Amino acid sequence: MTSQLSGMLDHFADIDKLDLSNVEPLAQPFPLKNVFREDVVVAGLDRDEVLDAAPAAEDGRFRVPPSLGLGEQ
Amino acid sequence: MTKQFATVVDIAKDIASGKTSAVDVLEQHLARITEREGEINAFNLVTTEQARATAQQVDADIKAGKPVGALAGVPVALKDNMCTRGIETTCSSKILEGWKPPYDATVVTRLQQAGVVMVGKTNLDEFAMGSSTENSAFGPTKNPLDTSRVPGGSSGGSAAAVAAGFAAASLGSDTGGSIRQPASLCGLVGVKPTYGLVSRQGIVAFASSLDQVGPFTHTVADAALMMEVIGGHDPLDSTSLPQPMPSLTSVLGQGVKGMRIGRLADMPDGCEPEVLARMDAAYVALQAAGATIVDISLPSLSYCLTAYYLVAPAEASSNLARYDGVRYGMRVETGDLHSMYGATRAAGFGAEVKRRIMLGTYALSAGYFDAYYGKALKVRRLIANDFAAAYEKCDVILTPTSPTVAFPLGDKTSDPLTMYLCDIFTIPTNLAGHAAMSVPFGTGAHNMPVGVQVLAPALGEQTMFRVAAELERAS
Amino acid sequence: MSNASSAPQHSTDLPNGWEMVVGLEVHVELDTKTKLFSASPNRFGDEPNTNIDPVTLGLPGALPVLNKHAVELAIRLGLALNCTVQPSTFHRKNYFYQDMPKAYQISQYDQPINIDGFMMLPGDVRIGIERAHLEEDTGKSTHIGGTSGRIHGSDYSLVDFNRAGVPLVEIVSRPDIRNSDQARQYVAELRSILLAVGASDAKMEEGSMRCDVNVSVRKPGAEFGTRCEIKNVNSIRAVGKAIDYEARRQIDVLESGGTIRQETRHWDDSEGRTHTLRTKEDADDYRYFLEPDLVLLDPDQEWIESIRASLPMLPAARRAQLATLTGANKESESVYVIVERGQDDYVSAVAQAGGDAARALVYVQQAFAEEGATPKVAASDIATLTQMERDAKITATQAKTILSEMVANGGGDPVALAAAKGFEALDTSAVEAMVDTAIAQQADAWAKYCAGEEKAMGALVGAIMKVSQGKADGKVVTAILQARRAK
Repeated sequence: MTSQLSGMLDHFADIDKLDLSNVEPLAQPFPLKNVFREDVVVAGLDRDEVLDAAPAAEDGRFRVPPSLGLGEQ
Repeated sequence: MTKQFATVVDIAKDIASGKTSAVDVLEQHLARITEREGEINAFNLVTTEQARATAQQVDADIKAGKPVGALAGVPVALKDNMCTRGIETTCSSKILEGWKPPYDATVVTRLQQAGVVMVGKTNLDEFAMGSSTENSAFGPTKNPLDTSRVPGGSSGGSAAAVAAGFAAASLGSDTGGSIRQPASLCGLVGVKPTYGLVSRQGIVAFASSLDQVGPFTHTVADAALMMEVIGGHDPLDSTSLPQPMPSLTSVLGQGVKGMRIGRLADMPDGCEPEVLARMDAAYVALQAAGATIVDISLPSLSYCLTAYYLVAPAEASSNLARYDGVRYGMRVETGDLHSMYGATRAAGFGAEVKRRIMLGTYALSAGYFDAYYGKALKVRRLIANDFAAAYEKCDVILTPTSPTVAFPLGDKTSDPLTMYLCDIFTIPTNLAGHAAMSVPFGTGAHNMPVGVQVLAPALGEQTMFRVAAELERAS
Repeated sequence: MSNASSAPQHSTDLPNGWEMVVGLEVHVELDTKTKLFSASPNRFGDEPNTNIDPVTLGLPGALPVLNKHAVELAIRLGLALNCTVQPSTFHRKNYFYQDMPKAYQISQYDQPINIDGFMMLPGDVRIGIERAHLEEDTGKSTHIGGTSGRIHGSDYSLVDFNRAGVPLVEIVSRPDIRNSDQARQYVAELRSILLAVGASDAKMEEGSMRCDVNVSVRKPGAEFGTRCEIKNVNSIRAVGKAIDYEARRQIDVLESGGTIRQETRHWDDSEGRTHTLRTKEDADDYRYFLEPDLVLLDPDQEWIESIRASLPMLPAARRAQLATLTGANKESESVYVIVERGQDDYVSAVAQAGGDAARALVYVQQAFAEEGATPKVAASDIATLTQMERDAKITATQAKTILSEMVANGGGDPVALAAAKGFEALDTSAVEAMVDTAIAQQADAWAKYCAGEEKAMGALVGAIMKVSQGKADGKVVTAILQARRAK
């Protein structure tokens, strides 16, 4: 187990040394494409049910403490 | 070993035929829960009343001659990271303690339509991050075969529930081995399907490109039946495969004659000798059944742990950012928004979750992205290429599921890296998106179960199940 | 050249030869029935948190599924902006804020759906469009307490997620704009194009079109200066004002020896100035990575071409066509106004019915402001009216009166109306006689007029109009007076 451990730690550094310049990244296993949904309304969630589960709510909305300075994107 | 408990197939048949009732079957399981749950802690929540109501309804429907589902009356447990409408779903985390989803996961809906009786939500490593279920905020789950040992993780509760006879089957989730490793440690069949074969809608995300849902059962036939119920395309999951769900129950008797079984030429260090011995026996058994053994290598195998521990935490850091105390779950009130985020997440998340979020954030951050996350994705390509090359020469690959049998509680908690090594054999499949399952194959040290892992290429479930069925016959 | 959609304003030149460099980022809400990644309604003005679902709220386990119609609208608008439509991916833009339900926004990063387009402005000015990509909108916060309803000094905030997940296209121009007129024209034209292709209702006052402005200054030929981004620019007029203010602010800083700090600034319309919102150092690292829950968007050529074939004639082409028909300049205000109102087809119908197209253009611009794209007045009747004026059967003033009445009544027979009012235009010799009489009777005015005082003509014209009881055509009177003076 110990040799495997130190081997793994070595590999964390070994990834640095690998020349992967000609390798394409693989972010998702399979090349699916064009998965869509039709533009049709489906009934959503009940507001009361959702706000009952909220930490704080007021006036039909979620209530949060003020953001100081940061924020508006 | 665990053959003492009734299988899904038998329960479903007996209830449908009237030989027994769903209520009777449920009460047997509830009795076992009453007897041993205190020492095992498999559940976060036992849903006794709802289970009884469902079982009564199944019996009423059968009596009235109404059609019932393929799993009518079968007691099933669900890992507590699967959304169940109106029923607490916590991911074994304080940050979601008390949260009741307003909707069901797709797999939950499919099981309900098949008529299962849900007995409860099972314990897990917090947000599915771990290999022993010791990272739960609600206490660890014990291995029912030896309660001084872990059941594995992260789906330890689901494995323990089946191993202890609390449920005839359960669902877990597998991101780096979290179904297969606990299955191996508890002597069960555990399946990680091909990525996209089972819907992730309503499964609380850990690492989106790695997560899959699969069953824990006592037998391969049970696993095949469960897979057929939960698997198949879901329009609510964009990564759901468009291909139809392959039939699994129908191929179980087809044997392995002429199949090529891959054996890793360069095995990583760290396997217990008894585990290796069981592997040898597995190869012998398959050869005796007409398969040939082919030596293959996966040169990038040794880099997989690193790649996984960069990719998974990176995706997790983003998936877990939504737990901010604004809309649901725990909130620590403070005077301003950003300190509220910090206080809520500091109090709500456990140490391992925080560790992985920090690691993942770092791996994605400007200036480090290419060196860490970017490179990890390239290693991912390498392992996928390695598998592709190997599968030119063989139909399935066999490895141990876990390098060791179930270890004692507390054994690996002091150094995260030792815990991460539990998944050395399981992680590569998640990175590649392929299928793999663990089949119990005898015992190892301390008389604890050993699991053999069968790996198959994407959508190779039929081949994989045939090999698994053969191993089961020989075990 | 002023645009048609706001009060004409000519930007004044910047001092000391400075030049401004401006780019615009415009976010438009797409006119779909449902949100970009979930099936809740995309509707403005509903009760808070009534258009919500697990994806909208970022509930655990929720997964996005892409709205096909949103993609179609994005392609429509991309093609209308002369973009190349390419295969594209989605990325996560990670940051914390109360209106970001997942703590990341799904957007497009290095592979957006539309790239390399352009828009033409009057004067053959070409503004490049770098990209027009899809992304989801955020929720909306209301800040309670404090004095201005703004975030600073508020006691707490309330969040409504109806808008969260609404489909947006972000249209990013290249920094090719060089004055505030061009900026306003760009926004106005963009709006016209969006309406024409049906992509968005583009109402700045409702937030379905939002502009952020990037401004820097330089001496011509020099490198681009440091730019500032200006937010909270809520009308086309404000676009112009904010740009002019900010360019001058930056020039003042530079000329007094300072440097421009790259930052985001907030436009205060009531005060007419910008001030700092946050500096670059405060900016988040968004840690962009490919969205694992979505797959490649790769519209095939057949789909793209069928969308292209279904596009209507765009405003620029309609203006060109109207200009050709009426002889007006394609950049003239009347042409812009008529096309924007959607009344060019009507003018065309008047011409088809035998009317005088140039006069029709003037009539419709003057009298049809409230009529919309399908005026009730029959085109053939307007055609008749234009002929009556062209053939000097009635004066221009009389025609205007009949026109107003026809519009007010939703129609009418111009010949009958003229007869009923006793309108007829006097023939030229009769008018000449009246002019000579007026010259004789208003000797002082005539003397001043001959001496070069143009205003003196007014008294003469007034007298003639009174005598003729409005039946002398004003233009004819003026022409005769000018001719007499020239003799």
